[in-house]
Amino acid sequence: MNTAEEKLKKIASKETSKWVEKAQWRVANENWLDKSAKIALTILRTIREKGLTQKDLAEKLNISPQHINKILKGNENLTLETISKFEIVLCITLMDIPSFQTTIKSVPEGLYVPPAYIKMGLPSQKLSYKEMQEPITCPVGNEDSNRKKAA
Amino acid sequence: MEIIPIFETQNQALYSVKYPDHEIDEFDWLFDLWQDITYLEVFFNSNKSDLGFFDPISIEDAVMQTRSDAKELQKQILAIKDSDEKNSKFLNSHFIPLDNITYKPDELEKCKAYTSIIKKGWIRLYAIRVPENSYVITGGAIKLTRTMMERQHTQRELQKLNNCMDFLRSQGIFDEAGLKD
Repeated sequence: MNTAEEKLKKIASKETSKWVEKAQWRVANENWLDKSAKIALTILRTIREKGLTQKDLAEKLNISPQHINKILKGNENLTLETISKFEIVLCITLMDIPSFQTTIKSVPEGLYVPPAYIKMGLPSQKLSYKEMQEPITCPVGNEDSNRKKAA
Repeated sequence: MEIIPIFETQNQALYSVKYPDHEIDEFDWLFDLWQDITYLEVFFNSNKSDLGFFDPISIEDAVMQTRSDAKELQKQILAIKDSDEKNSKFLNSHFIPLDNITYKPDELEKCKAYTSIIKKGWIRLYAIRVPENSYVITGGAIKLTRTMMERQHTQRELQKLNNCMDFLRSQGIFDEAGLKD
């Protein structure tokens, strides 16, 4: 470094900026921060369109204006409960969870299949990727008789 | 006015100005601001007529584009900080002289930074270069007009650059012969 740079170093504060630490945190948490930002923007555009203020929104949701302000910056790790409250009060959809589409084609005779697995797929079945893509259907019978067969 | 180190390596250094009435330095504050959706929504709503300077773009897209450009700039600066001899990345490749001043070593220059990868981007970091490889960030802006004089918020950034130059001069940083604005 030359003289001017050395002089600059000398007059600089001993305390370093928090930027590096904050930037690294933002990079590590990028995925959910992106979602939080999109949710905040959707809420902000909706309240502008409806002519509401952040204070009105705070009152409707029964939360403090300071908390609303923090959420609308788009850096908050929101709970599903909070997101649902916004959706109800503003009559909008902020998150859309895709429905399960898998159906089971056949089940070995005598095997008891809990109803939840009929929807989600059998956890113990080892299927190739190609096999997993094929639709399977299951003749859903009486749960009690399935259990009796398994016993 | 204080000069706060962002990072320092053997070959280069990035600093930021911290103003007495601000809790954090300008560089840190700008990245907070460019991630703040409320600020960006209000900014683009107030400056929507300037959005026509670029290709037509909605306020929603302008907000998300700004946030995305800030994220990209953030990654690039972190990469410069973490670069080593084998994979050198330099601040000099990010900063170009302001007002198209001809580059001359050992001169005090007003410089601006922009992300070279992001084309048509409007976020700007403004800095004073202390030759050879040190930069002092004085501020930044979302620049939607061709020149900085056209809007108050960008005019203010020019003033901040001048104030910082005066401060650095007063600290004897530039007392060599040949110093020019």
